[in-house]
Amino acid sequence: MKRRDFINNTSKLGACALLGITVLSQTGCASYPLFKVQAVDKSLTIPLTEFIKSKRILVRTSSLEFDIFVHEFEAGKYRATLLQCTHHNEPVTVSDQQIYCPSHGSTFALDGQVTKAPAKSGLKHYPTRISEDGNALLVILEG
Amino acid sequence: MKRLLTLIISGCSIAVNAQIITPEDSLNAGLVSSSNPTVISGYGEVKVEYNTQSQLANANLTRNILFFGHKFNKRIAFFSEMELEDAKVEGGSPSGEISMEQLFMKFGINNDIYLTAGLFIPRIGIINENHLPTTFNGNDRPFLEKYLIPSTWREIGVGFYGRSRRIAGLNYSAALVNGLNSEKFGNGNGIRSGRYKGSDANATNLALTGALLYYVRGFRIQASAYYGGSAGIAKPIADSLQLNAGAFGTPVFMTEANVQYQSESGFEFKVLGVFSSINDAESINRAYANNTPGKMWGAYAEVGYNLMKAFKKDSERSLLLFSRFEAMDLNAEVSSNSAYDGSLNKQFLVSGLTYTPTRGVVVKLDVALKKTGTPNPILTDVSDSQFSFINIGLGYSF
Repeated sequence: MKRRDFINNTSKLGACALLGITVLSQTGCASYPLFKVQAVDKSLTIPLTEFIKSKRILVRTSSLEFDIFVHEFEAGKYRATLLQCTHHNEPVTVSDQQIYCPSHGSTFALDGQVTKAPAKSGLKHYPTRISEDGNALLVILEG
Repeated sequence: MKRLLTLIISGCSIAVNAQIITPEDSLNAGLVSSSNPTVISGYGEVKVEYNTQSQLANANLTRNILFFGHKFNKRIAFFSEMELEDAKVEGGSPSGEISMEQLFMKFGINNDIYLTAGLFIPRIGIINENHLPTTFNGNDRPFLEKYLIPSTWREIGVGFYGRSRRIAGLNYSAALVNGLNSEKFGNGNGIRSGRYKGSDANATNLALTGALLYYVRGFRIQASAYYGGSAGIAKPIADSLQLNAGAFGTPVFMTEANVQYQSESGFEFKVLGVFSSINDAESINRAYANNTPGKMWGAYAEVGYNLMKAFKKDSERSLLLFSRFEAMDLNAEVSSNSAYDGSLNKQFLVSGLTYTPTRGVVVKLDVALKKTGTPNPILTDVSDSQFSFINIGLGYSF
């Protein structure tokens, strides 16, 4: 392949990728809010106001290798799911309807249950509770 | 006697516990304590194939893979897969093969981005990354992803993987790996035999790959491309063979796109299309006389339905009825110094059942029909153009 053809082909690929990303960005599937917090006494404190904008948020803390997906699945009921695939330890991602592993194709329902192999077991959950003052959600990391 | 019984029960209990905590899944799920981060796991498949034309059956332990992994710290891990194909390897025998299917280090940059380095499988096609027998239907992997996309296609290099923070569900990857060896390209195998697979690879020529992967509304949508040199030889030799040497000399280009969908009601489908071109095919044929094609293309579509869903909504078990049609032409364009072989214009229809009694185990039954164009007697000793097989097999991964 000549240099001109190479540049031509590469440009076409780049244009296709850009077009693809542009189309995808218009589908309305914006990412979920990311809330960064440090663990105190093995728990993460998330102000309930964070759930006003979105019922689904991602929580990142330096003490964990993976993010936690916190979902208000019913009014006042929360679920905290570790975004770590149970198959090959890859990070999993939350899309609009499911949680998936981009590396090997495992998929999980939003409640963490396996919907497609190769993963065999569901995603790990952390217990949650409302703080005593009623203003925050506590995600309890295991001791 | 009581003590003996207690000992036996304790022993069984330890054995069961050992079974539970040793798989790679356990390490990765964080079930193994960080003080023991080394794990062993595996997968494999066995098949019995009956050829209805010849009325001969063949039984083969297709592959067994041992996984070894080690986690050095929360950001750095080691992965390896050692594969034995066809049950045994004998000196001088053309049958079995032992190879490293993967061996790489993974370096986490942050929660969204990581690097891989070593012998790894770039994101091209479906089967390449997702090749466990529990993840595809039929005893054979889709033929398109064997003959055209040479899965499992692993080379030595560096990969960059990430996910978009802005667009939920969008992932991207790029990799720089060693290129191919055009001397080994062959009639009917496309570029398959030109893979180095991590063995004494010529790293003078290089390849770039990239992929976008997007999950949205139950769909998994992927597009990828590969561009790499295939003549990593010294320039004087390349000149004498009239080949273009250099990092991307005598290049191979491949691009594919695929879509998969799985509904909660048990319906699923997948489609994949791929196109490949080797613009210097004439030069390769002049140098090596191996009938390298100029262009190849192929596509397949598969539909399936989990019959268990009709009776029981939530069950770990599944019985999937599926059908897949594949079409490909491995010499869609031939250069003036090579010959067209109709047998490389293939169609497959594979239909059958995949039974999953529990996650990680599959029992497969399928019927595979193969039809080709008229074989070229100069290039192949096969004279038939229609074949049919009945296959039954087992697969597992843990």
